[in-house]
Amino acid sequence: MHKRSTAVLAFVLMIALIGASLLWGAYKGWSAERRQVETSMGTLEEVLSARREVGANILTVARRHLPASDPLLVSVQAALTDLNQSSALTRRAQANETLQAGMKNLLDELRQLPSLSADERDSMYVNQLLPQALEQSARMTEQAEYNLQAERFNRSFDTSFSGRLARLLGVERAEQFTPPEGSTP
Amino acid sequence: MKKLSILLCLLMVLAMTAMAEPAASPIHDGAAVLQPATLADARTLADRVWAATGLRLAVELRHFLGGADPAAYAQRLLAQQEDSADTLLLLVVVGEEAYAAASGATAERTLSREARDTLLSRSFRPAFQGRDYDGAVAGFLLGTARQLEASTGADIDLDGLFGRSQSQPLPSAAPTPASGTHKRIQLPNLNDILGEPISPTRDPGSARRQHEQEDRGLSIGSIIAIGFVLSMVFGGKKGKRGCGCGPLGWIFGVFGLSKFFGWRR
Repeated sequence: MHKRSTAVLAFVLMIALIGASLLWGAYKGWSAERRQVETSMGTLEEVLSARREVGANILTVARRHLPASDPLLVSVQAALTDLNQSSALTRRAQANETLQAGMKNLLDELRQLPSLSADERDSMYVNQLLPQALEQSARMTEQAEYNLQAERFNRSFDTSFSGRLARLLGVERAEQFTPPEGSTP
Repeated sequence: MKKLSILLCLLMVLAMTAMAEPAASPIHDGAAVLQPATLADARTLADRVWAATGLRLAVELRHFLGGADPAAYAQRLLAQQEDSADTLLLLVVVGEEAYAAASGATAERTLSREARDTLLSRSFRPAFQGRDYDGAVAGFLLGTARQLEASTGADIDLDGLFGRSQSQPLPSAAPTPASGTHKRIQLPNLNDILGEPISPTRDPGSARRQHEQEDRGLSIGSIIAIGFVLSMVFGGKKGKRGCGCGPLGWIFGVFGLSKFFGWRR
């Protein structure tokens, strides 16, 4: 009788130890993976910094030819502020999309202005240099390493058994730099 | 042996000298607005001023600063210069129609801030506002050289620079009329505007491989420990109750189970 209860106790202990090892291993592994994804956030910040600079440069030229109350100018300024100040990634992604559309429309509006056509330097900026910078920064944002890593992490995290265990212990999905669904720029 | 050692040392010194990178020019036209002759004369003048007075003249031209404050940016650029204490730096931001100057501590003793700002307003600003960037840079550099001659007593040869002879007066303070045709501006390298190319902080391929190598679930140590525990609990002495297996059997058993259930990758 005594030996039977010992065996049962040992069996229960074994199961508990195996379970604890599984939980600990899952937590450790997925936490490390998440930290690695967050490390690549630095590259996203660099890309967004380049976007902000392009926005500031376009506004600099636009202010020479448009009044301060121009709706497009105001909209681009607001999107820039949102991109700078928001902490939530989804909101920043939304601001980035608004900024992209706004900057493109602002450049189109500037091209129609007679004052710009008369200014060779600003004409070169609006027709060549700034559109090229805008396109390049948009491409850099799309290819930002952070989003690729976050997507990969979330896919594995959601589909694996150990990922579900890690979630019980508080490991969360990585936030992606994408605008909320259904939002329009 | 001694001759061989001396020869080797000489070869090393020669190799180091050959491999040494030439010092970056302090006159840098990132906006590509200056004529090549102006750029060459500016570099020559900067060299002559340095040789005569020990003061380094640096000029940096950009199209835009991406929203940064020109004065703060000029200070940052100055800090990056070789011998920043002896350097007077002029930052010209063509697209923003702005400029700023920054001086190192020693440079400020040689040419005071007030004298520098006066030079900027008299010899640089009028031409800059007229978009005559060659004239603006030439005016500032020539004016600075003349000011240094007066304050330090050094003799700086300005002959042949910027298309003038020594006897010609300095560029006038009166604003130059804006010409009907502007200088052709070449498209610059976008990296000057957007900064250094972005590279990921970590190669994703190697990160993935490293992660796959990391243990997830049961580690080898855990398996061995569990095997020993099971062996102690269930493994009895030979002949008595218990399976009689040694710890190795239990370890391999746990290993097999972990593979079967996917507890370990």
